[in-house]
Amino acid sequence: MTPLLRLDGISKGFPGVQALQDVSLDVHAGEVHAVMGENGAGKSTLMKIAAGLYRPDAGSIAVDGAATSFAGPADATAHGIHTVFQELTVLDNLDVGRNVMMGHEPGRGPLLDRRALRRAAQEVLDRLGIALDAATPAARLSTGARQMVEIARACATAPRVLILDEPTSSLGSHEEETLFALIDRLKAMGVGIVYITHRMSEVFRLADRLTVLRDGRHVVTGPAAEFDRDSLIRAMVGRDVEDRSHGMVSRDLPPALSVARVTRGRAVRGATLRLHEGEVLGLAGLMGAGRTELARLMAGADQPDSGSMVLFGAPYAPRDVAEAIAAGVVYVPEDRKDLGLVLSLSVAENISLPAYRQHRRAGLLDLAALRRRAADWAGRLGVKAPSPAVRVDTLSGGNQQKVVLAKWLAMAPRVVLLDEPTRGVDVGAKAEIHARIRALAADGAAVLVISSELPEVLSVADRIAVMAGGRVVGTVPAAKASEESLLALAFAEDEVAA
Amino acid sequence: MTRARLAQGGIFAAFALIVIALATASPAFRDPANLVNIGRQVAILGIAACAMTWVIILGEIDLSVGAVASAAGVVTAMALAAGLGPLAIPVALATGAAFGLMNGLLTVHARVPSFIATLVTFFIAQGVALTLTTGQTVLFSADWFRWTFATGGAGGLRTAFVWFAIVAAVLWWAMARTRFGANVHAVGGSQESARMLGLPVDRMKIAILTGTGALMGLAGMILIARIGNARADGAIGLEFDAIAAVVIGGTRLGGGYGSIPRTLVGVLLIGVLNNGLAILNVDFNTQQVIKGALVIGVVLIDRWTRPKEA
Repeated sequence: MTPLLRLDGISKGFPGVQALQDVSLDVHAGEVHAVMGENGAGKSTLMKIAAGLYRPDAGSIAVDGAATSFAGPADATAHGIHTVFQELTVLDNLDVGRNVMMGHEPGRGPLLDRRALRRAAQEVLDRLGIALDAATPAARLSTGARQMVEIARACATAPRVLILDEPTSSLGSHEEETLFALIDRLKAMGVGIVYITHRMSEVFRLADRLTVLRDGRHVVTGPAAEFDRDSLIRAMVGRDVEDRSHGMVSRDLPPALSVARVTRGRAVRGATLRLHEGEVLGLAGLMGAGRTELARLMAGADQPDSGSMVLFGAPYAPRDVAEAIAAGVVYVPEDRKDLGLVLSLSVAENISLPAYRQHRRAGLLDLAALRRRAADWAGRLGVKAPSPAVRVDTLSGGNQQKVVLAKWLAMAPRVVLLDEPTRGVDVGAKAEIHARIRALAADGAAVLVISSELPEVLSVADRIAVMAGGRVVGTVPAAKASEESLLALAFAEDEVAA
Repeated sequence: MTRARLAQGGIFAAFALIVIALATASPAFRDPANLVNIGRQVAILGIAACAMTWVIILGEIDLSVGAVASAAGVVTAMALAAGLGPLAIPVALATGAAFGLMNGLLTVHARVPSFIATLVTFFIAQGVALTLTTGQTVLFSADWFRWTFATGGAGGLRTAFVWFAIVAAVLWWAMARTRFGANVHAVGGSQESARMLGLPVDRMKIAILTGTGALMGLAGMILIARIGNARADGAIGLEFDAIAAVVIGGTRLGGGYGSIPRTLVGVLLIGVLNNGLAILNVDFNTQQVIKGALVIGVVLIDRWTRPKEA
């Protein structure tokens, strides 16, 4: 049988990363083909190629056995291939009906028939068994309902292939069931479904076949029945666990920052965590597990709905980031370009930014002292720049990240929260940053390192906490952890939710 | 929805209140002849505000409308003075459209925010108009032209108002009844999503900014037809009144929400206010303060009554 969609030997690179290398995937009518892999395995890139958003550097795409290429998302849609992305594209300012029928509104010529539109949208919703009124403003929908609207839109024009990119990442369990029922119905209609996920239970509940990607390469494809949980995790992790750069055993260190049953929205649901002085605590978990959201609560960037925090024995409830900094807690966000650096300023100015208050003389900034301090910290972190006066946007990613770290470490923080400190950083700079993180802990600071790279967590942390579904599901000494055991914990959400 | 309706109701209430206050304070204001006056006075503002509504719902802004209308007026007056006759009409529309196209190309292809792009066009259109007129008033005599675009009509109805009514009706209809118009809301809601959904975002921006320019060509013609001569600064300041009218109507500056009827309320409100305050002999500078206070009042009401983001 000819597959509805076949991607053959797809490669795609971005500056600095080879996201996909010779990956193939096909999907037949009436089957669910699950695509699995760790964060960064290349799943989303592959889907964006199938959706016409990216053009592959190499490889071919065939629809119904006929080779083709997609000029853009509209072209993929015209071929019957619809994609529901993780970042939902439901437009809040329109009603459900307009969203469902977007791009194929009924009417004659340039005219729009709003009544027919609403009727057609309602028919699509009813046919799919989605209990939504086409006239409801989209702004009022829950995340789950938005997902349904997104799928209904894909189904408004008899799709051949439906690609779902981690559709349950923001759904509650009863919403999940509705989604699964919908997928079963679509399957019965003969739609081929590509289902991207990293949740085990979904794979075994839904998938007919599955493909595992790792580091942008194809690992294995086979009937879902031939896999079990362990073999799947082995296929996803694959590589040997790297050498530990240290073998510290967890000691009885005094607690620095404790978090008890904090909750915020859907992202953090009763997380408990204890961070000790002089230790590096790794925070692992899958995308959407709530790690960044938890760190933002600890950093004062957001406030918890409930739960409590204690900092060095005193109640800690920062109302904003400034209060947290004053209390000695600094947060280094993941997105250094947007949040961590002012790209148009110099290295020295960036490092000095948070310290202006401490370096004043007669109400004016003591620029000489600031410059000395900045040069000192840039040197300590090994920032490779011609001079502290050059603009940070002229530096490499690794050096920019060192500037971000220098900025915060110069504040002599007692608690440091690092969110993906080495993302997009080359290997050499990574090692230097890791060494600096270790030195920081050795000096007595409490350090939290969020990382999606398990080898990084394993090599830099003393203990590793794993989050899933907004909770901390386990904490293990790094010396006793392995990538397999951490992933197994990260997938534990499946059991918790069930 | 109900809160949004309330906010809209608030605008109407404010409008009614202002009209009642002015009518009580001034017999000249309630004279029917003055009503005709207001209608004629709001024509240019109305056309600019209706076009601006499209631009703002799309998520952009056009600061050049006043300068473009002025420049188109100057070019048209010179064309009439040179004896081009009816050919002056396409010249006016083309002048406006050319500046609008410049806005569109700068915004889309040079990736300059429309705020900057249209500011640039503002300066260039002003410069062109000043260069052409060397700062002088351009005189022309073409009674047919003045009749067609401003002074003609019977009873209380003037052609200037008729043009405004036509533009408002067409732009209203097009937004409510065509795919293109419906998609403007989609783009304004989220450009990124609209792109992912395959909408021709760039082409829509160019079309709308160019169309706005062409309509400013029409506004320029009405402007010079009303007075009988053209000046390089004839419609400067129109951009702010137009934006104010759109915002007072409740169209959101961020894009995605709004409609032409809402803008019409804003236009009438500003028109009535300008007219009434002038009749009451309120000093021009004080008028500006009152207008400013009104805009901020309406924006605050809109924020308080808008449903909280989910």
